[in-house]
Amino acid sequence: MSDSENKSIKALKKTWRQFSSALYIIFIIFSVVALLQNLIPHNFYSSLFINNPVVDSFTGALLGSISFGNPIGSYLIGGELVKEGISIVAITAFLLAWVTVGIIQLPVEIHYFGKKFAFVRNTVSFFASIVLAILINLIIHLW
Amino acid sequence: MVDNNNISSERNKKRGKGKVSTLLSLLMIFVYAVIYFADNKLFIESANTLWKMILQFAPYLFLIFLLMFLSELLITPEKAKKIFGNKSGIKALAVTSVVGILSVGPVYVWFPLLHDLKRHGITNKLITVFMYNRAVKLQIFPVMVFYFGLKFTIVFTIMLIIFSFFVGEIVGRLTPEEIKGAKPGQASTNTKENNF
Repeated sequence: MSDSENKSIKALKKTWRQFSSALYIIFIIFSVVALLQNLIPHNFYSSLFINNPVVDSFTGALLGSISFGNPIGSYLIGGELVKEGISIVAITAFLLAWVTVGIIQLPVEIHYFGKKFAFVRNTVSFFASIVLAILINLIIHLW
Repeated sequence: MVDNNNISSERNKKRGKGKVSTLLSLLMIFVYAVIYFADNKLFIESANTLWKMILQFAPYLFLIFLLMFLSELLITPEKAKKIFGNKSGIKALAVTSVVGILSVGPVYVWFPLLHDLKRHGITNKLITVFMYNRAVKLQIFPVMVFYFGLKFTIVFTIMLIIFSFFVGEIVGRLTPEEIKGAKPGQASTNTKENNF
């Protein structure tokens, strides 16, 4: 067997070892997400906003942080909330936090990158989603 | 000289993490078993959702495996340092942003690959930039335009990419070194043994 073949087999074995370990974690996350998606009613989100842009953007970011699933889900919920009169700043914070902050996946993030990184990244992303939501809507108003 | 005590302690940590993963998996199976008897409808709905999610993300998992394999095979610490290291700041930011935007599937599916790249020298700043840019979803752009309009979608996307650099910078400064042996911008000099 040549050196390059040996190297490939070694890399394949190592990758499989890492990947099979990751599969456990993915299975756990999927199981939690699937369960919660069926437990939380669809009108749960709209009941939490009070029509105050500042408080609502914080609430939006908070909701986005604890939400999960494909981002298309956030667009659908966000779109419905806009129709119900919830401020677009709050919805923007919600959309941003949905993808950039992950409370549900925090244990997995800690597992791979350590507590400090996971907490700092999520905290910074949380506040960034509020600031960015305000900035985005300011630009849209000025445009 | 390699510190044998450190390696042994790292291995014990990995074994511990592996046990936790197995225990959590068993716990989830137990939770589903309890729900099966307590609320059969919820069990069927959740099991269906779980199955759909697995089917939906199976191709992405294959892609991740392929990328992890290629990374293991082709990316040497020197090459990774060249692409992601501090010296090539703007180039690294651009590459990371594009890869983040184009990446598919849930972010946690990417964690093993990012962790692997971290061992090869990728910084916390770049990991953050990658994760932040994942909020840009080109594949579901039309849905966003449909709900929020083209103007909102364009501003949202551009601002998000710009902001990812600031968030990355802040996180990078607050977490200068996270994993032992893999200093930011510096390839790991430690063993390449996996950390899972």
